[in-house]
Amino acid sequence: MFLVASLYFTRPKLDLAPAMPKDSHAFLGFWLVKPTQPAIPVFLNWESKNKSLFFLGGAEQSKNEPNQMIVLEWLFLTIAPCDAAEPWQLGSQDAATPMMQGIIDLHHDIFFFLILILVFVSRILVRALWHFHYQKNPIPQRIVHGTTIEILRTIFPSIIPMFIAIPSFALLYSMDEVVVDPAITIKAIGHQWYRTYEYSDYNCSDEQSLTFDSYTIPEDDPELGQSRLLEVDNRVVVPAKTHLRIIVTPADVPHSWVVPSSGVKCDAVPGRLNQTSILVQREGVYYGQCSEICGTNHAFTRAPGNIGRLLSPLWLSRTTQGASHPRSKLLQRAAGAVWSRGARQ
Amino acid sequence: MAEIELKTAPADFRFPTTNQTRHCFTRYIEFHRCLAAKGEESDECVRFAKYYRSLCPGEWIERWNEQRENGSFPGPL
Ligand SMILES: [Cu+2]
Repeated sequence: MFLVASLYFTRPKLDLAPAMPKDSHAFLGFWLVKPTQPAIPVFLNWESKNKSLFFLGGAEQSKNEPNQMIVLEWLFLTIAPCDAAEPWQLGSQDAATPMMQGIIDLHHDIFFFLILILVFVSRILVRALWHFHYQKNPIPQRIVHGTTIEILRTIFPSIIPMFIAIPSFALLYSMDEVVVDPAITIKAIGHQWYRTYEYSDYNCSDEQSLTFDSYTIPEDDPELGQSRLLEVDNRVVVPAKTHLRIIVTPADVPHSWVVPSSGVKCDAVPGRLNQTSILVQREGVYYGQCSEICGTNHAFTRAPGNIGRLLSPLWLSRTTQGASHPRSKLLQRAAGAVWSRGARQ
Repeated sequence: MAEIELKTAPADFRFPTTNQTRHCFTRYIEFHRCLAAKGEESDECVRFAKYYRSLCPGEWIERWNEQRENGSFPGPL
């Protein structure tokens, strides 16, 4: 959910919030001055006043939902969205799909071993340097052979990669499998330098199609709160909590369709259709960029679309809700993590 | 609001990989074979048409249609 996401994303700054004035209108001025910061207090006020807003996708949809949607729409088109890169960001973007959650978890798993090795190796190195000294240790020990140490230092380094490889392969193959029938197919066709999206599930003839181009808003054009070189003129609207099949292909040179918070990076290769399937678990505006050097404007119009505006109340029909559980154990676990994280906020 | 049933080409066990180029091509051929077998007015082929339209980029379909008209379509029909 968008609000939840925003709060989660900016959690380290939350402590500042109680000190802010409680009247939301006061913030209006505030955030007009500093468009990057103010999301937090505004959201906090929203949270206290409109608890129901947080359950737009769920069963608790209220009758004045369209009004709320308009308010949300207005808010989120104006405020810098949070599923985009932040200045000085070090970690990954917030996960929106089980896939991304899996990637983040794997990263943390691997980092455990990484730090273990770092500490151990540094200790040996520092210790060796420390003791190799002409005054403290005039006659250095000469060890040229030691069976025990050699067995140990062969076996342990070969076990550690196994602990890294197993979860890594499990994730890799669970990302690859497309066992569930998708509910929607969206074709993302890369061009120099924009992206064309086709929704053709309901076409009745070859001539008919729901197709639109998505251009990046140029550097000197964005409105207040829009992300520079990330915002596009036409966003892709997809349903949340639904299996989506994205078919990626270019019409000219190789491109790449990437949405970091969805854990998707799919190369667009001429003459080939690449499929990737995603299940977005919360509503929001997601940003991505082309990740394959594709010509002069790759760097400038570098966000050729890739934006999902996920509004489940408009799209999600009851028929699709049953189909939205990931098959593999790993993805299920990851899905649980995303959901419980959402609930905690 | 009327219920919209979301429906698209199902996952096909013949094409389990990321590369779906064949999937699209095969569905296109299947449709035209179906037309040839059942006749132009048959309703049974509609689902194949839906599948290939879901999977193939419009540009590809256009080109293939042209090639079929010219008799230069590369696939078995
Ligand atoms: Cu590109």
